[in-house]
Amino acid sequence: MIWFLVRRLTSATLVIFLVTVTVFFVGRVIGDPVEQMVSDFATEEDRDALREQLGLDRPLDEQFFDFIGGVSRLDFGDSLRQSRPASTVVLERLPATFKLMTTSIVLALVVFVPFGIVAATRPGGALDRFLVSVSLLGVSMPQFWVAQIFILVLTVQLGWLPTSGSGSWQHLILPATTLALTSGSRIAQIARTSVLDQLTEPYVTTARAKGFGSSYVLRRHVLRNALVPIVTVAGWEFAQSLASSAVVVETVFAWPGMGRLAIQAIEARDFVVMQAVVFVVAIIVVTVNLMTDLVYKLIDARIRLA
Amino acid sequence: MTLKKVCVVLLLAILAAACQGDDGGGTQSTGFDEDSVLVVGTTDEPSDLDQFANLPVISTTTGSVTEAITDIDTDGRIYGHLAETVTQDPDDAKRWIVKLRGGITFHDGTPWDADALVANIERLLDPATESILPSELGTLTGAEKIDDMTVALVSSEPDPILDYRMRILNMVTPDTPHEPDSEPIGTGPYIFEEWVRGEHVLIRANPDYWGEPKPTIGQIEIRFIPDADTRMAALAAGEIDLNVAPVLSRLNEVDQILETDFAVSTNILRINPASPPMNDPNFRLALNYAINRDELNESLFGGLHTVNNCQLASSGVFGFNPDLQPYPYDPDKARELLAQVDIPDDFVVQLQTSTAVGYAQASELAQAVVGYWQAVGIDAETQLLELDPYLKLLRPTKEQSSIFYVESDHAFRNAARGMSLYVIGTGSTIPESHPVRALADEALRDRDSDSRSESMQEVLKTVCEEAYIINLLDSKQYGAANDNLEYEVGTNLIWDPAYNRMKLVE
Repeated sequence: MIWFLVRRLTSATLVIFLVTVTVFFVGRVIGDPVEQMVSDFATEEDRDALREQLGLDRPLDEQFFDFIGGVSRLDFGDSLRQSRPASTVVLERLPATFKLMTTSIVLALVVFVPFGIVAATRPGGALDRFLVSVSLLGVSMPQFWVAQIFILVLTVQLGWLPTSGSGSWQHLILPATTLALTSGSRIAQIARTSVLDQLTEPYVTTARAKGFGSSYVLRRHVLRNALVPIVTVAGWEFAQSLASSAVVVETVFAWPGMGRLAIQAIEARDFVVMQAVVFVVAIIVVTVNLMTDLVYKLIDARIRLA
Repeated sequence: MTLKKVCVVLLLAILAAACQGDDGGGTQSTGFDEDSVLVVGTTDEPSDLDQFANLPVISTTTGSVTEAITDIDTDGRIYGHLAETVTQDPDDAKRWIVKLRGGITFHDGTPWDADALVANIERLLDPATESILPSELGTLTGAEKIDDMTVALVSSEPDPILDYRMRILNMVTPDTPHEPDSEPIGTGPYIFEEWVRGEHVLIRANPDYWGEPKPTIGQIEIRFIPDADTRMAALAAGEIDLNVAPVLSRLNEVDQILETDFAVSTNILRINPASPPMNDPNFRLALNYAINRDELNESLFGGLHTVNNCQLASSGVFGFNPDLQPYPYDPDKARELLAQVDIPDDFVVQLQTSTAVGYAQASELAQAVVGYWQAVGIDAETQLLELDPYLKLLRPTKEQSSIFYVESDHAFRNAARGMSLYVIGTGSTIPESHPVRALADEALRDRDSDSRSESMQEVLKTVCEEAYIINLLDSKQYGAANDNLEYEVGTNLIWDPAYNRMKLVE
């Protein structure tokens, strides 16, 4: 186990480094932040003066080595727009995103895993077909569209929930549900398939032959064996939502998280903040992957972590 | 019995007096209900609240917290606001004398005086402030205190419109630190209360506001809602009372439409006359006659805009020429003019615009215009650029394509801005030798406001006749509000609202 952790931490560090370096170069290629920061009357001298102030006139290799040195101290530099440390800007937004992601994944697991299990125990039946259709819809519908439908129906028409913002648990419901709908639908599909596979295994037949009830077999044997793929997908969905879906959902619902911050930084060409956001997201993603692997071991002691 | 009656009357009088005391909202003493809240929905939040940076979003959040030394009336003329008078020094064209209005203090108690104005100008011009405003303020180089209430603003060159430029510079207390999180402390009808990053800014009414009208709404919450459809939904749900950036195609859904009293921008197509046939006036005129501006307005903008009168200004902007008319839609005339032009065989008119967020309608407009040109036999195409290459081309180069789309901004409310950029400035493609450049330069230096207006009108007329710029549509700014809000927009922009002129009604 110790060697496993050492190997994983080493590869995680390499992944985070490569991702951050990639963003460093991509950020400098996608555009010039100075063009968006100056007025129409700014002369070339004004632009050059601003580039010098922001340190953007230095040679790329000098900027790169400064950047690497800074990252090792978790110092990404000051935001080009906000003149505050980029790490402060990002860490301010992290709790909101973390709250949203955690709520959505818990919701997805609590609602959609039973979905998938119920569908698997009645394969081909009306309920199974209905649940499969619902999960297909959930995976297919674009999240920005789902978000707007929720807002129109549940807030504007019915007045049940707020349209946007944060501050109370009511504000969390719609964005978390929007995220949970997509990720939960995929989890439901995997849960259904995984449980179906287990139900056809010989040990299940043996258990039933010995007189154990279906419910008992499901709870004590099948579910545990079916959990590994479910955990895999849940971990992946969490990471994928953090890295992409959260951006859309946080923007539509004006949720003050890192996804919205990433969009603001990209639009403003504030690549310092972009680098910090990507770094934090990369750390979270590799941590989630590591925890997923450790959970495998808890579920099934036979699994060898390599 | 008589004594008893007297006692009863006295008791009733005392009770009546007590009941007329505090009504619980402080309304009688302050003029506003402290508990009343107006919620405003805006696009995303500013990077910081430094008054010397990031203009548009700042104005929505703190435009009523800070004030400028000048303001503008409905005819586009400047008058003093924090200053009593702002006049050019008769002996030195590079100086403007500002006599400050007395009896005003900042929200932190610091007096508004010459020291405060000088400190603001010095802070503005200090490179450490990293302000983008100095380039908007012409050649302003500093300020000198003459006495406690008089300051001289100094430029490196004569600047007859410095009083207009000073409108965009909002004054803060001289003790404002050079920190990103510094709170704006001004002299305005509202006082900054809090900024919850990612969520909202809160400002509250100033009970001691010096000016008129006094604020009537106790608190203003400016909420950051980046998605346009979500903002519309928030308005429909009653979560916000005012949306300063509504979806224009959905204005028919709202209770109340607010609009500026003048057009704040004009779409223009800047022609590069460096090579044939763009250097032929007949070709440029043909491009104008080929465009059906009324149809563009109706089909792309639902009739919300107005056809521009062939100039870098709109009605209500200082320097506007009321005699100019737009080129009529006349495709036959366009073909007739084209027949007189020697067009190279492989020549294609390229119209450049951007595909970036905020330019969606620009690309539709460009494609429609190219369609009109193709209909009269001109080989034309659009070139849609990413934002950064587009921004670089705002400053024309020899390599630049033939026609470039820009939005000429009239928020300054003075045609000098458009002229400074597109006739003689960094955005101009008019040949250096053309007399209109010298005419424009002279007009912008004219110290007499009336003769300056006449000269500017002459410049705009010449540019129209020479057709170096194709003027399309004038756009107002629009806002959307619920019925509970009473607000006369007046001379303000929608995203720079005068919260003290707003009232909440039942």
